Amino acid sequence: MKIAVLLDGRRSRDGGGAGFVAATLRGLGHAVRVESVATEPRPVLDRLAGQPVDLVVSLVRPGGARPRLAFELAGALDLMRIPYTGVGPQGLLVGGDLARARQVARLAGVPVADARGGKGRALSVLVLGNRQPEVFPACECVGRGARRTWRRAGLSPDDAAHVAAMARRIHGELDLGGYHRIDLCLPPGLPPGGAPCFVAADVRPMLDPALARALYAPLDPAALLRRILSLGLRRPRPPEWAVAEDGERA
Amino acid sequence: MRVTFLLDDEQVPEDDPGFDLPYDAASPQMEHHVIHATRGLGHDVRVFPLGADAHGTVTRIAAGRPDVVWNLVEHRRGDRRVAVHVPSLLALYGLRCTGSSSAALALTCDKALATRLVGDLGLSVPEGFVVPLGTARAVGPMVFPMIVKPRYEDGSEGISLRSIVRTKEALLERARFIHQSLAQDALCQRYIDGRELSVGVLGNARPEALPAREMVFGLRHAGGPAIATELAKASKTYSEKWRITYERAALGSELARELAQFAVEVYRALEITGYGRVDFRLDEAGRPYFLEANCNPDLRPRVFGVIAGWAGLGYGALLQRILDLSMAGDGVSGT
Repeated sequence: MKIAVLLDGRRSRDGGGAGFVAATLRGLGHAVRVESVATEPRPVLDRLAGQPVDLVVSLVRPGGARPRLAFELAGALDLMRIPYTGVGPQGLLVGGDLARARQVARLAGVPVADARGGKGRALSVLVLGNRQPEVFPACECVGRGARRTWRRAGLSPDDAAHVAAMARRIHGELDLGGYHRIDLCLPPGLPPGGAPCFVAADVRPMLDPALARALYAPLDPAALLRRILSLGLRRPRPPEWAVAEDGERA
Repeated sequence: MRVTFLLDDEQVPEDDPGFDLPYDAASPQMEHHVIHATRGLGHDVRVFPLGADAHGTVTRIAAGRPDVVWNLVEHRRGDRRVAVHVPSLLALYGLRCTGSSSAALALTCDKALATRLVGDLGLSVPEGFVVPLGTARAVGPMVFPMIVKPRYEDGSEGISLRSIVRTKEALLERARFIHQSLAQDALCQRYIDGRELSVGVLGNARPEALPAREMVFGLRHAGGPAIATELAKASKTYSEKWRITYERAALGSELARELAQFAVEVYRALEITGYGRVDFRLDEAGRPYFLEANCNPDLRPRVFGVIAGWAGLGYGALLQRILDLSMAGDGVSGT
């Protein structure tokens, strides 16, 4: 496939996720070009229109100097009928804004922990999928700052089921899709059947190898990227695409 | 000012793509009125249909270096959820546009989400729930009668007298109809029996509400309709038969102030900018309930033009105000 990897400035500087993604995709046999939308998105969109790709892997994250750039780009790609990986525009708009995500989750009846995670175990789960998401085993965040990492959380079967059910529920309420990470808090002394609390969603989680090994196990990084590409191609498309494609074939 | 209009494809007449033929005051087409009146204000006007190649259209627009793009696109081949991203695409090309950003359009397009966000302001919203596409589960407060409507449509599309249901079976049947006919979730809400009111709003950071308009159902107590159905909005014959009219709402001063404040709070919460309209039902106790907000209200002289006129704003002045608002602030952030 022809794939364009879109980076924002922050992602370009860290060099981690983007380089790993591009190298892994090339290793999988794809023709990859890397484009930065850090300063000027217009030439990148012109190149995507003039030199079409089969798929865009957007690593542009919400936040930064233009907080909704990821949302804008996803919407523009939808209008241009270019498939892309990850969360769609509605999920980026809602899930990509911490306060909005927590508000929408709370209004949907999801228990929400305070922004720092509250008391209890801080868990993270990778979610892969569109309409029928698969929730990966929960990991636990250990350490702080640059030394922060994840390890597999040893949860009882009941707790693991509750965490997975809550992650699926949040996936739907925030209109997420593709791949993303959900952070939850498991309060101490959670009674049987008790619900873990939502902390935040990372709608464009890092895809670097160290994190991939921890958070995305049992998939190896290449298998993870294959799944993400496949989900991008199968992301529910706006109905008008089908109409246009039918018309073009006719 | 160089003003480029961006329209839904079917709104651009094949025999007059530049809207150069003489103005027809009787035209039912909103675009016709807005474009001619804008030209009448002395602006240099160009017109583009969005077309199948959105990128190509936007690059051609950008080449003309307009001061502002008047975005009147409401759908893309019938899909409103994609059309909401037109301001984003324009913003990525550094183009200012009238009205709201894609974020506001996306928030208001999703009526279920918009209702929740408005309810979180402490304002009255009808209780309800969504029956997701592909399911037949009604999980939520069943407070009959209820109204079942499409989650994402506008202009009362998908709403008929059959939308009001009184049993769970009828609710699921109507939800199935919406799933099948419009391929989207069904939003089910408690039906608020009462008056149908709209409040137009103008502004960005300091929005101002215009006087409320009422959709009057003249024969509602004689078996006639009492809700804004697709037919009631689209068919003159139907409206005449059931004596459906639009009038300046007769409200006490306190209620008028409350409704204006309500509309402004909704406008801000949903990030609407430029111009918009907020729709309400007023129950029999006089309590306003939020129904929906519209970032692309009908700008015809006999609709938004009349409402602006109640506030002393002529049609030309209304359109100039919308253009001026689009030029305020950075205007191209798309956010």
